[in-house]
Amino acid sequence: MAALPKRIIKETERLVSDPVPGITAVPSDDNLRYFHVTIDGPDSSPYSSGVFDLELYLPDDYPMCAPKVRFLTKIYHPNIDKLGRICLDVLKDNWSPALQIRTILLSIQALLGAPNPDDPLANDVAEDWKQDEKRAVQVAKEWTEKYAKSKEIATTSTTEESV
Amino acid sequence: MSDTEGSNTGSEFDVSDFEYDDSDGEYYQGDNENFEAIQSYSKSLKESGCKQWRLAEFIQENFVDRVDKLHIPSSKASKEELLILLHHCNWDEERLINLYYDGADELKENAGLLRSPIPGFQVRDDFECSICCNLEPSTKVFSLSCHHEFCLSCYYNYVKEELPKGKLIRCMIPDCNLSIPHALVHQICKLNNNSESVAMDNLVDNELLYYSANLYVIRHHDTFRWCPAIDCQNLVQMDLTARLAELDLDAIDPFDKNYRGSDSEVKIVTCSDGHEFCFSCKFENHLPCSCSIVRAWDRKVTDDSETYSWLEVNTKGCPECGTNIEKNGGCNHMKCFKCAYEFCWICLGTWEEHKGFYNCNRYVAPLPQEEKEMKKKRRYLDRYMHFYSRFMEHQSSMAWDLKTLKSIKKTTEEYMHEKATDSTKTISYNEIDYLQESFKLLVRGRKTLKWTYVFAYYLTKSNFRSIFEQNQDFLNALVEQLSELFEKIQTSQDNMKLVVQLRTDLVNVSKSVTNRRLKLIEAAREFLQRGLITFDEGF
Repeated sequence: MAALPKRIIKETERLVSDPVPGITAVPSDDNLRYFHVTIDGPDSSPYSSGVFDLELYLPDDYPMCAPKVRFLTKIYHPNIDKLGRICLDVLKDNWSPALQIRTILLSIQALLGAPNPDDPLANDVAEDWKQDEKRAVQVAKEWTEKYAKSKEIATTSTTEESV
Repeated sequence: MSDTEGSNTGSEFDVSDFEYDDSDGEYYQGDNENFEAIQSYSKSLKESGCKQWRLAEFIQENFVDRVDKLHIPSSKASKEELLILLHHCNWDEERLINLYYDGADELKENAGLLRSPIPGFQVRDDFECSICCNLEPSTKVFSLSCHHEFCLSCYYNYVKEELPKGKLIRCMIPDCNLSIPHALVHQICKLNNNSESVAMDNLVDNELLYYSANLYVIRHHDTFRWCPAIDCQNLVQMDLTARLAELDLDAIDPFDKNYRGSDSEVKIVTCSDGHEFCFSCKFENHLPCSCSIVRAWDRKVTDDSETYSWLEVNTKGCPECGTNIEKNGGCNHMKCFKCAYEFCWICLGTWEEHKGFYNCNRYVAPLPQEEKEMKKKRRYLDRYMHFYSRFMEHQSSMAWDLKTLKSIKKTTEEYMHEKATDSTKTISYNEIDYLQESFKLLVRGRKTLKWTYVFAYYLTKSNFRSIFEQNQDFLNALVEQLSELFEKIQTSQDNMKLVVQLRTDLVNVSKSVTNRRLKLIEAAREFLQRGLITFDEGF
């Protein structure tokens, strides 16, 4: 494998030494371009009780091309489809090489806090969201409880480990 | 053509209209008539209201000249700035002027106009680029008036990535909206290739304008087409008045009994370099076939041909039921999986006669009945292979013809070169320059011939099919004759002498090819229009 570009090494180092609150990104042992990511559901959103697993891959042309990011945890959100693919401008047309893994993950976290049913990826979810937002929020909460890791358990398990 | 009497078909149509007198087998002596046919054909192409563009002309007229003509009172925008503004407005002056008067500052900001001075290219010591994170003692950097500096190689990679989108390229910082001027885009592309100083090239060679032209063509797809020929960068523009409604090939069913073809379906245009193509479906000149037939064929070929060729080579049809059988063991005693018929793989005769001895080593001419027994399925396959192989044969012949031309071209050029010093060489350029023209006509003839096989494949049986096939034979004979003449020249010892000798032949035959070709196309069109022929896909 070609040597890892300095940019990726630097970003990885910073993700470890200066982590973003509520977000973890750990490179895989066998492929340093592949990251295991977790994002805490933002407070005051229907996802607030859960921790979501994602995968992130840096393609060969990174940083000229956006990283590829996908949700691994099932989630009820108008801009995230069944396969976990995310509709987000900075992952597509609005990508800029000056953006980074951390900024992208922050954007995804922000997307959880501000669903945009007018520019949907999962059409059925967006439809529900528009017709009866209260109910949709309720479903999103239920899914979070059902599929996402619970924040409390995640925190306790880490504290236990550190003890 | 005796079976084409009206009484046979129940039609009152007089088929003699479509019989062309070719009986004398002589070359056409009077050039006038044929010239007229060719001229009226090319004239009709021009009258179809299309305009030919070379890429540079297109950029000059549609982008650069427009900027020159643009006049916005009370604006002090430079040409460079106007180019950015117009690009931002998708080369729509009206939109630009409206936006300008709605709010000049807002427009300028959205378009990303720079504030001068622009730092541009600099060299920095101990610079760490925030994109690649490389730290070098000395780095070439680039920045716009926002002073967001990045190393040149990152900028180059970024520009390379952005160029194909055809839109203005902005500073890499997401919220910084500044656009890189066109000339600087060009310099970034060039400077990275280590050429130190870059002269300001003409704008028609500008990379960004090239991709912008590409985007423009995509957006104006109803009137513009790129020439589909390989490495050809010409454009053809259809006049708005003559323009076709966007053709929905899916809605056309050529196998409907009422299909009559349509002149609006096929629109053959020619680019500045003489490449003919169909404006509607972007294929090469596929006459006499209509676009919908071409599509059906294309689909069939991509779907089936590989399978078919494999079947043809590796299987034999069961003599009883026609099922394709692959031999996967050593023994020649075959038993059909479907009908349980037992036969010999070598002679395809019944195994009954092979018990204990092989009499199939003796040659016996096949009985006509045996052929009749060949079942339908196998016949369809054979029929398809018949047309497909001829189609492909001409396709590859076209490639050979091209090789021939190249070699002839080389020898004539060499001759002309030597002529300057050798007084024994007296042939003038006028005497050989017809070669290329004749050759073009050969290629076109072959192309038409190639497509006649597709046409014939789908054609249902009728007397008019026989006429069509006869026309096809005539064209085939002439095309081969012409091709042979070219080959003769190529292989002869003193080919220059032969070029002069064969001149009359070449001119005559190539004209006959064209004449025959146009008549075939016209006849096919008319047959179809009058409902005399129909197509069937269910073979």
